[in-house]
Amino acid sequence: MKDKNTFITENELIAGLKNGDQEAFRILVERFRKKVISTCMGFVHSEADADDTAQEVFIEVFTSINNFRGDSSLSTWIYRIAVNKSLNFVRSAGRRKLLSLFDSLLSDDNLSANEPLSGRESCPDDGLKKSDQSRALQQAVDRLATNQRTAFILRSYDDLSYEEIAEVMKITVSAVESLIFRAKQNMQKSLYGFYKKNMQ
Amino acid sequence: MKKNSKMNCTEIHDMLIFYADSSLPEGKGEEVKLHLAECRQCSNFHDFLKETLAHIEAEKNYRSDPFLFARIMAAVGREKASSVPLFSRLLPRLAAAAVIAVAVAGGTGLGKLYSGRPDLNLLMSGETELIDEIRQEPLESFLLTLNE
Repeated sequence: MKDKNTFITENELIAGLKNGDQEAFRILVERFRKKVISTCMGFVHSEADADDTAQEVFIEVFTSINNFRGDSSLSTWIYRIAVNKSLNFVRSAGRRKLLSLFDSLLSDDNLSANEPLSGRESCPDDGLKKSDQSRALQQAVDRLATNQRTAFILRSYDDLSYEEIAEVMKITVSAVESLIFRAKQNMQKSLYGFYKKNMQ
Repeated sequence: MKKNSKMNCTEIHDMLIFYADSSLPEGKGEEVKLHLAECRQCSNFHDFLKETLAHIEAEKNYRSDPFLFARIMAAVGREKASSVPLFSRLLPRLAAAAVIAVAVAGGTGLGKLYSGRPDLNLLMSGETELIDEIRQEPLESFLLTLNE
């Protein structure tokens, strides 16, 4: 038996959502969950946080579907919500981190957040090396300017074309090319810094 | 010694991330490939870049919470409940309270209707049953019964 999810068109889906049809909403979540989770992961780098952010994205879709005018495709609209929700999450997490850093400075007994990774007990374990590389990647992504980061994540995590990214970010295709080019250059700089410090 | 490579390490270095994610034009890619075959330092950094960028795939392929839809619906329900105005939220409770009050009042009324005991309020008033009873059995007839 084939799934209804396969057949329902975008317009039917939108009409169903606007009528408050829960089945249409379930289909939408199934259809977009992987894309939304990938976008969120690119920004938040944590499975639990990505799930929470994705949840917020779909709640926003459900509650504001009547504001969707159809000027762009449904997926573009959902990607925009996913990017905005993820950026909001990162900002509020940054504030929380700053507060906890302030607390740890007052208590004076914790590792500094800026301590180089090699500053911790060095361990030849390959798993640790991998997790350090993963953290280096996350830090390199997080250090990018917001628009570079958004373009890079939509390209690398969501495999969107430059045209699709341009539509989501409401910029030109050449601007997207430029943002991704600079994002990669900056990523390389950050990763080279980590490589020199930890791998050589 | 780099016999065949036309580019130096600095030039190659700037292109490595593009080479690592296969986004260099073919001609440039060939030059980088040639250089990496001869330069251990650049080759090591290239390997590191490739390994590190591969972590994106791991993050992308995370299998999300299987109960995500249920969680979303529960959260939507909570959101809807909190967006309902205070009066509307209190309305069912107020209605229940009104029903209970009516039931209590009705029960009390019915109780009074079918109870054999005199109403204490009436006993306290000026027109009590006792006065009527005296009227029915005057003092003379009471004294007569005593003489018997």
